Order: sequence, then structure tokens, then C-alpha cells
Amino acid sequence: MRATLIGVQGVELEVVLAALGLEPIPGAPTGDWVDCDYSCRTFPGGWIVVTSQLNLDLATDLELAASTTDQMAVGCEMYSIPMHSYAHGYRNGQLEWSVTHDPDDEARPLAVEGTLPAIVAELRAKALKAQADEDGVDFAFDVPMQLVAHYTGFVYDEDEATDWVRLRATAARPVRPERPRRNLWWPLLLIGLLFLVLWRWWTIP
Amino acid sequence: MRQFQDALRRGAGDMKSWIAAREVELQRGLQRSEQALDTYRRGVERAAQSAQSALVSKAEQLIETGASRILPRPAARSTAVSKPPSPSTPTRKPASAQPGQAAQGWLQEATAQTAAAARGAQDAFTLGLGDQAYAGLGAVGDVLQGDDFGASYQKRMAQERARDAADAQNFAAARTTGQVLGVGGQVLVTGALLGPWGAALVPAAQGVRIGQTAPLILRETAALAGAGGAAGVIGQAIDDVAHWKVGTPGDYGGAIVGGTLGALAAWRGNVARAGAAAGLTESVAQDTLNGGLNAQSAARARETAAAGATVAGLVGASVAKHMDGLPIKAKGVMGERVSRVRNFVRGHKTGPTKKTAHKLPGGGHTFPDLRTYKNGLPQQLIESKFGRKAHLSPRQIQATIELNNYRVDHSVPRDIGAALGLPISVIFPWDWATTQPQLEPGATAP
Repeated sequence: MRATLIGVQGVELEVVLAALGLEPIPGAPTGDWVDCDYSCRTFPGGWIVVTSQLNLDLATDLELAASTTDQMAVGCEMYSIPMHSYAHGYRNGQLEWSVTHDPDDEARPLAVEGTLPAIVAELRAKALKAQADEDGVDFAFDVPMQLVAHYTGFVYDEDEATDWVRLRATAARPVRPERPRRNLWWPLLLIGLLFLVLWRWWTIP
Repeated sequence: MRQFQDALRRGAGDMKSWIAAREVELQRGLQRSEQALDTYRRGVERAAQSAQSALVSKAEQLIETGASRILPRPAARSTAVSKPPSPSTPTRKPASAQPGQAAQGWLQEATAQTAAAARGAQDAFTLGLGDQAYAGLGAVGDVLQGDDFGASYQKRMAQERARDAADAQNFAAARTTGQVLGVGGQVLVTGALLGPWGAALVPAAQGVRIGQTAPLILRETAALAGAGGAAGVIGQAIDDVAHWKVGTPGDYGGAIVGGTLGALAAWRGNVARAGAAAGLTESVAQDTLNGGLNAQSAARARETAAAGATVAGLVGASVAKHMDGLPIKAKGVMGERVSRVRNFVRGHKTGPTKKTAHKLPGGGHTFPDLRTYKNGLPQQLIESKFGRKAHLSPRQIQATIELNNYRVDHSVPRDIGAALGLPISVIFPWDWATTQPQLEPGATAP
């Protein structure tokens, strides 16, 4: 599963949605946060959370959302198949900290950068201790999502709210087409086989 | 002056006669020594024969009392030996109708065959260096007793070569079988040593599947074996096209055996070992099906195993390294694709890509990557994983405990390396690496 969660504090919902190029789908019923390509909901403390499974890009969209507020903006992105996750924290539109979990980086299962709030160190220490105690379970993967949950109150794998507003992209949403897939394997394989056959022809005694 | 010359001539004649007399005495002494040696040799032979008779008698008792229903009747062995004897090997006498002599012949035959097979295995396993080591050690022993090392080494090497030649002439099947077994052992030992070293050199080729990964079911194993066999057939067909010939059923049968075994071995992990196993079994199976193993079989098996390991290892490691370096999104796509292939092989349909939450009995939600259906009914929730170090999160661990239909698919980069490396190694034309000619169809072992 891939999901992107963006939380912004102290700003109107319409402003955030406009910055991200999103709008509510007219007449669509509310649902849970994975029912639609984009969803949003307000949380206590003046937090607005926007989620997407496929189409939000944390690096660019969180920066856009953070630019709308002079308070905090946090966001995380998770890829549950390779078990990679990361989170960023902004204040006054400026990037303050980053936490990255890369399972292949055994030396630094949770890489941190920037001016870290106390909660980062606390969650990090807790996860690493649990991971050391129980081999074969990736506790560090959840830390970026726990950070978002700590600030916004949205726990992605416990949330049972069904009043998430379904959103859609507007014409103003910047189109970020993914790079065309370079599927080079089949051509390379065919070229290799052709080469081998020709080689055999050439070397027939 | 003349008197002096006469005296000198007489003295020389006396010396000649003295020398002739000593030569006669020496010849007589040598004859007496030879007679004594001959007498001693006969005594030793008589003693050895009596000891052998006693041993055979005991063996006969054992055979007749304990294994008479299993062993063939002595008369049945009368046509077993048909090859001309070699001067350097014990002459194998035709078995007589008497049980004692037949059992004795059977024991000698079995011992000689086993020894020839062991020598063949040793030669193949040590790449022929065993004979040299044996001769060298023996020569060192001779040096301690005052002999010349070089002469002793040459003499012993000549003996080893003569014995190998005699084995090849008189015990061809046993020696070839031993050589093939020796090559197999060599491949296994080399693979055991080089496999971990190769994996250590290429981190992308490492990675252990997580414990909760769903094992292959029978359909998946059969599909894997079928894919390997198909790769073998394609490889043989390419070889046929390249040589403008039509392969024998034995060629195709051997290719299927090699490809199948290689594919099953590849699932275990090390693609280089799988390539070696595929090359070895394909070569041996083809020679066997085409008329029997021959003197070149062991060398050819070794060469094809080495070539298979090289091609599969290089391609597999390169692909694994590429897969390991893929962007995160691409890794996600790859893991999901592997799960879709598994679903297809299992006979399940895969639902839409969009993820939905699944509530867990113990609280919380899990978000499976795929859902499968059969006849329109939901079957399994699939959690895909891709990567050398990917593990389950605590919530996913909870799902494996609480849900019966929760399946974990974990693929690692080396799986993709094996999926490409092994077929290429099976399809790859071996001739560039082999110096031994393939057995002609219909030929028989010498």
C-alpha cells in the first residue's frame, strides 16, 4: 500500500484545498479515508488532514500546504510493500525536521534531520527498543505515521470515522505525470537472445 | 725386453682367467638367489591362497545363510566379464559352476568395480591432482628410505596412469560413474563455498524471506518446474537451430530434466548453484538418455556445470543488483506483480488495485495490497513485500495471527535475478565453454 497523509494547522479548509488543487465532489457521500482518491477531514486543534492513496506527492504537496499557514504542517508517505516511510515537519512554511525509515539501511533504521521536537526522539527510541527486543517485526516503519498522528490526531490504521469528505482534482492542480516507465528488460532480453543465436551461427565449425 | 713383454702377457692372461672365474661364481650365486626367492614367493602365494580361501569360505557362509535370496546365483555371473584383461590389473577369471569360486569371483569383481569407481571419483573431484598428490607423498616416503625423489615420483605417476588406463579399459562403467559422482561432489562443495562468498560480494543477492511468507503450494511448484522444463526445451531448440539439426528425444529429455531441477533449486536462493545444478543434470541426463555415460561424460558435466554457474550467477547478480536499486515506487509495483503472478498460478483472480481497510478482530485495520476471488467469492487478503530487509509491521503481524485468509508474499531481488538468470543459463549455448564432445545419439558406453 502507498498512502500520503498531509496535516495543516490553523488555516481554512478551502485555502488548503485550493493550494493543493482539490475540491469536494459535489453530492458525493462521505466515507472512510480510503474510499476515494483524495479525502479530507478536520480534526481537533484546528488540524485539517488530506489523504490520498496514489496521487499526492509529499515532497511538493506538503510544501504547498505548509505555505498556507504560519503554524505547523506535517505529512508522511508510506510504501508498505518495500516498507519505506518518511515524514516531514514544517513551521511557518519552513522545513524543520525529517524522519526517514529505510529498511535496507540497517545502520540507520530511522534517519533524522533538522531541529527535532522531543516527540521524535521519544518515538524513535521506543521503536528501536521494540525492534531490538522482537526480531523480524518492523516497528520503525510506523514512526513517521505516529508523528503525524501525534500532531493531527489521525491514526491511519485505527481511524473509524466515516465522515471523510471525498475530493477530486481541479483543473488548477498541477499535473505531475510520472515519468514514463522505461521497460527495457524485454528489448534487452530479445537483443541478447538474438546476439546469442547469431553468435552460434557465426561460430558453427 | 721380450722377457718382460712375455711376463706381462702371462699376467694379463691370469687376470682374465681370474675375472672369468669370478663371473661364473657370481652367476651361480644369482641363480641360487633367484631359486631361493622363487621358493619364498611360492610359499607366500600358498599362504595367501589359503588365507583367501578361508576368507571366502567365511564369506560364502555369510552369503549363503543370510543373503542367498537376494544375491544372484553364481552361474548367472558367468557372462559378466567380457573385456580383455590388462597386465596391470588383476585378471578376472570366468566364474565356474562351483559356488565357492563363484562367490570369490563376485567379491573380487565387486571390490575391483568399487575401487575403480572410487579412483574415478577421486580423479574427477581433485581435477586429476589426486594422483599427483598420491605419487608425491609416496615419493617422499621413498626419499626417507634413500631413493631419489624424481625417479620415485615418475615411477609412481606412471603406475597411477597405468592404473587409470586399466580402469578405463576394464571398468569403464564403474570409473565413469565414479567420475560423474566426483564431479557432483565437486560442484556441491564448490557451490557450498562459493555461494556464500558470491552473496557476500553482491549484497543485492542476499535477503531472507520473512518467516510468515506463504510457502509454495503444489500448483506453484508444478508451474515452477514446468517453466524450468520449458526453458530447457527452448534452449535445446535454439541449439538445434544454431547447429541446423534435430535433437534426439534424449537431448530434449535431458534439457527438460536439467531445466526443471534448476528451477526448483533456484527457489532455494542461490541462482549460481541452481545454474550449476541445471548444467550438471542436463549434461548427465542427455548422455544417459542418448546411450549411456561415457569417458567424456564427467568432464562435460563439469564444464557445463561451471558454465551454468557462471552465466546464471552473473546474470542473476546483475539483475538482482538492478532490482535492489529500483526506486521505492517501482519496488512496490514489482512486489504487487509477483503477488499477481502467484494468484494467477493458484487459480485466483485478483481484485482492483485500490486498497480498502479490513477491520481486525483485535482492533485496528489492515490494508491488504490485493484481494483475491474465486468464482466471484472473496478468497485471500494479500500482503505483498519486496526487498531484502522488508519485514511486517506490528499491525500486519496482528493480521497474520487473527486472520485465516491473510497471505504474505515476500519476494526479494534475487528472485527476479533467478527468474531471468536461470532461463538464460539454460538457454545459453554451452559449446563455447565445453571442450568435450557430446555423446552421439545411439552410442553406447565403452
